[in-house]
Order: sequence, then C-alpha cells, then structure tokens
Amino acid sequence: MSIKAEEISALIRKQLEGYKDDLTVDETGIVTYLGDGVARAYGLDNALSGELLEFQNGVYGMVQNLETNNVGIVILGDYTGICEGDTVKRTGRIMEVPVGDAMVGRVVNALGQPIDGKGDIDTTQTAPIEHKAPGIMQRKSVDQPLQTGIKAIDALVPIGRGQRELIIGDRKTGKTSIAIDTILNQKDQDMICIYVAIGQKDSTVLQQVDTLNKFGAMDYTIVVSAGPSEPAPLLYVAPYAGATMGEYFMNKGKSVLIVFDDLTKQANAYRELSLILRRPPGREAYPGDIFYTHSRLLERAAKLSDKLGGGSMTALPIVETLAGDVSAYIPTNVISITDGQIFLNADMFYAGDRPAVDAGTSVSRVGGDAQIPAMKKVAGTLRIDLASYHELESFAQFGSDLDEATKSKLDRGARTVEVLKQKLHDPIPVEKQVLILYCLTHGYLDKLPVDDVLRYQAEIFSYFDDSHADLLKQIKDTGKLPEQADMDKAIEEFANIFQPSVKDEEAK
Amino acid sequence: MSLTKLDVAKRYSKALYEALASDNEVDTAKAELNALQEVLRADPELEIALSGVALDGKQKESLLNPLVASVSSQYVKNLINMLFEYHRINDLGAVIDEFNNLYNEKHGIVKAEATTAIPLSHTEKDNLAKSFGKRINAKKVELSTKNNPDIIGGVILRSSDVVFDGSIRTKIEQVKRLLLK
Repeated sequence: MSIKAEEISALIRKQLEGYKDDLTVDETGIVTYLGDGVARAYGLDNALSGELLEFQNGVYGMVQNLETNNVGIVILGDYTGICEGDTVKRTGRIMEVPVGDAMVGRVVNALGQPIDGKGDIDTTQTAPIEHKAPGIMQRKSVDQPLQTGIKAIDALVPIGRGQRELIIGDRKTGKTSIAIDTILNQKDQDMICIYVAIGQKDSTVLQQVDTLNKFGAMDYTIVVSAGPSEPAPLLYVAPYAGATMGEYFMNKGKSVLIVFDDLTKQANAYRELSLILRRPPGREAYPGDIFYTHSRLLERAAKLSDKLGGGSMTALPIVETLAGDVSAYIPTNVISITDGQIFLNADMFYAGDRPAVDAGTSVSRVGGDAQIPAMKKVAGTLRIDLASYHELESFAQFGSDLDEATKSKLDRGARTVEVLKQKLHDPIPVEKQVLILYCLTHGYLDKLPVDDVLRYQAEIFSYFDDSHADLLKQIKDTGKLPEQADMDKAIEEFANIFQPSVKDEEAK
Repeated sequence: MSLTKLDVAKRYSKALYEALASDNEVDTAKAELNALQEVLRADPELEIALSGVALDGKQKESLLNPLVASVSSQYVKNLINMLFEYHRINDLGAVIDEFNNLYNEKHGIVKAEATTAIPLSHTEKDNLAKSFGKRINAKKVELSTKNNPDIIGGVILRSSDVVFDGSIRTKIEQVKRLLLK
C-alpha cells in the first residue's frame, strides 16, 4: 500500500476542521397518509410551498399543498420505504438541480444526478428548478434562424432561435425523429442541446443516446431522462429541471435548443399527483392549473436582449394526439401557448412521405422573420403549390382529360412532395436546401420522372460540391441568392450530364 | 368535504376557552375537563357507546347524566350536552386536548419531550427545562423524559413540531457525511 496512515489522518484532520459543533434544530412533521408518490404530513406549520423536505429515510419531497392541518408532499424518489408515522424534516431550501458546463455530454435523471455510469458530475453550481421567465424588457424579437436540417420544416415552418414550436402528431409518426434530427443538425453551430425524455421507455432513450453518440452529437447535448418506472413527481419536475440547465447557458449568451419529449406524459404525471393530492379535477380530470404548468415552462424559452448577452433558448415541446384529435385538452392548450406547430400526419407517414409534415396545418408564427432571404425567395410559393396540388390530387385519377394548367400544377405538386421527402438522420445544410428548392420552383424538375427526383438531388449536391462550391458558400455566408444567371448556368450544366432513368413505356 | 376531527375540536375548544375566560373560570374548568379526560381514557368504550347506534337515546342519556352531574362548571356541562346533541360526543376527547393546547399557548407553557441515553436525575431535568424555557421564551416547560440508548449521548428535545437535536448519534452522522464528501 502506498497510502500512509499519517497522510490519511492528516486529511481527516483537515476535513474535521471544517466541522462545526452545532445543535441541529429541525422543524418536523409526521406522515399521516401515503399514496403513490404523494404523502400528507401533520405539523410542518411553517413549511413553504415548493420547499424541499427530507423524510426519515433520507428521501426528499417537495411541498405542494398547504392546508389548515396538513401539508401535501410529492415524494422525489422511492416512496416504498416511507411509513405512516415517519417524521419529515424541513430543509429550508427549494428544489435545485446542478447546472454548469460539466453537464454537457451527460445523461442525468430529473434531479440532475448522472445515470450514464460515467461517474460524478464535476460542478458545484446549482439553480432552482422553478424560475420566473424573462420579462418583456429582457427579451428581443426572434431574428436568427434555427436550422433543423429538414427541408419540409426549414422551408415551410421555419423556426427561429428563442421560439417555441410544438411538434404534434399521433404515436409513431416520427415526432421524436424530427427532434433528434434537429439536434444532429446543430453540430458545429455553437449550440447546446437538451433532450428531456419524460416517461419514454428506457430502451428508447438508450437508442436515442446511441444515435446522438454515433453522430457525435453528445458533445453538445444533455439528456435528462425520467423513465416510466420512476415516480410521477420526477416526471413532473423533469422538464423544469431541463429548462434550468438550459437557462444557465442562455444567460451566458449561448444558444440553447431544448426538446420536451413529451408533455402529454408530463401532464398525465401531474394529473396523477393532483388527484392523489385531492385537488379538484377539471376537464379530462386534469387539475385546474394544468395550463399554467405548461405555460410557465414554455415561457422560459426566450431570446434575450443584447444587454443580457443575446442568448436564446428554443423549445421544441412534443405532444401526442389520439387519432389525430388536436382538439383534445392538452393539445389545444399547448398549441395556444406555443408560437406554431408542426403537425405530423399519420396517413402521410404510412404513405411514405417522411417526414410526414402536414403543410396545411403546420404553421410558424415567428420563424418567417428568421428565415434567410434566399430561403424565403425559393420557398415562397411552396405552400400554395402544395395546397393546390392536394386540392387537385383527386382529379389526377382522370389523367387524360386534364387541361394543361391543371396538369402542370399536378406535376409540380408531385415533385414538391417528392423533394420534401428526407431520410432519417440525414440533415441537409441550408444552402443545399435552397439549391434543390431553387431547382424545383424554377421548373428544372418538371421534366424529370418523379422517381428520379431524389437521385437528382443527391447528384446535384455532389456536383455543386465539386464544381460550384463558391455558389453554395455565397448562399451560406450572405444568406442571399447568387445572380440568377449564375445559378441557372450551373444547374443547366448539371442537367446536361444527368441521366434520367428510362421510362417503362419507352423501354417497351 | 366534511370537517375533520381536528377542525371540530379547534372550533369548540376555542369557543369554550373564550366563554370561560370571560367568566374567569378557566382554571377550575380545566381541572374538571382533565378529570373528564381521565374518565374517557380509562374507559374508551364510553365514547363509542355514546356515539354509536347500539343504544337508544334514553339509555345514552342515562350514561351521560352521571358525567354531567360530576362536573360543577355550567360551561362544561353545556359543552357535554351540546356535543351530545350535535352527534359529536366522540370528539369530546379531542376537544379537551385542543383546550389544553390552547391553555398552554395562552399561558406560555411549552410541552417538551427529552430523549436521553441514560435516565435524567431530578436536578438535571429541572436544569434542562429551565434552560430550554429560556431559549424559546416560555414561562414554564412541562418536560417528559424518554430513554433511548441508541442515541449514545447528549439530548434530543422535541417540542411540538421542532426538534432540537444535540445527540452524539446525529453528530457522528454529520462527521460521517463530512468525511465522505
């Protein structure tokens, strides 16, 4: 053994010097009721709402209800070890989670404790999980784009930094994939991403973390996970904990992207708590303050004024619908809180139009200001093209009797749908999105067979990388479209070498 | 939501105390109430019998009358009759408890429980009560004692909701946490 006894005793002595012999004075209460994740205690007369309490066995709880003779407590941890008659102690603190640069790259639970097996997190700073959102004067309107790398979103429902954009759709329609792809696209963008998994299966979270690792995205990402087997209070606090970790970076002037996956499950957890706490149930048995639960969370996403460093936190909350019913309680609430929504259509998803972004019902109330001018120019008519295509789609079956104008609209529409298709985990940089959309809106794709569109896209990208990188760079740096003549010339050069696949009829 | 036993007890005891205080009968009534409490404690089935449905009104009254006759204070008599009439006779014990709490509060009397590893001598107990009273500004401390060798040494004082922990066990625990940090 290389450690000497004297060294150890010296170390202990040094630590003991910090020990103060104080009489500990605690205010206590007695547990009179215990339910799933919830306890009621008699006593604790001076406890404050939101205060952290410690149970006899070391588990923490948070004060939720203050009533005449008892306090309602949510238990943040394993509640099976607590019995009726146990003592509960006030701590005088409110709930806090660790924050700091060391959190980046880690997977933590709702209390900020590491669960990725990589040891302790080296940070001494903590911040309260509930924090008042920045006020009017502290904010600035959203003016910078957040590129998701997904054509359908960047072109049709652009997202700005500091915006709150809801991702909504049925189960298994690719909601999480959009969020993960957006995180992947933030590589080298000086962005901190936080993925808050609420009630997601641990196996699914592991899969997402693996994906992030594989694409090198964990270097700038924090994953906060509150699994379905954890008590409801942890699911309830997880998004607030995530927002607190994000605010640390936002206040330092950085850009943050936070994904809440998903708020439906948080609402369910909160409903469970509230019902056990005997708060009166409202619509769909949710408590009266369910709207406030989400609004105060999402309000924390902001673009800070230049005086405060100009940091931003963009929130992408996810909400699950049942059979496309957006008029259910939680979806309508969150839709009205957020600055727009990306609606994922199950029919489109199963038809193979992925990502299944429904252009008709998806909107962004802020993002247009944040779109780069080049994108604005090429994507301007896209929404109308798609709308008229879907209107005329049913006529397409009577192909031969159509007039020229209708036929060209249908052709353009079919190609637009094709262009907006994108593979999973394959984000496309904005300049290339502009390029392919330029080809589309200027009619270069109209002559191609629909099946060739994606091959055309792949080939034109590599052609421009090789021969016209300057044009791409110009879009990227200035945000503006190059001279139309230059673009047209380059695209025509490519069109000459592109080999369309032979049509079936011609082959016969 | 129906009122809990505690709510009921608080309301009745407060009203009783105020009525008694205006007639300067608090101390005599308190002694009688405590005697009543003794009776209830000695025979827990009495409250059940009085509030249950097994006996009819006449039989209940015959049980109740000696109780009423045993007290001299008119207010206490009225209290018993009133509680019986309003079907809250099973809250009588709780009302008396609350009354005592209220009395202690008004007179600066604090109840406390001291836990020690070894039994305390009389002088030690008096000294502890005195110094504790000084610390929390109480006129009188009613100290009960309890032994628990597990705490190794020192004293744990518990008074209503507040615990003053000066035990060796807690100190060792703190040192342990400090060293583990």
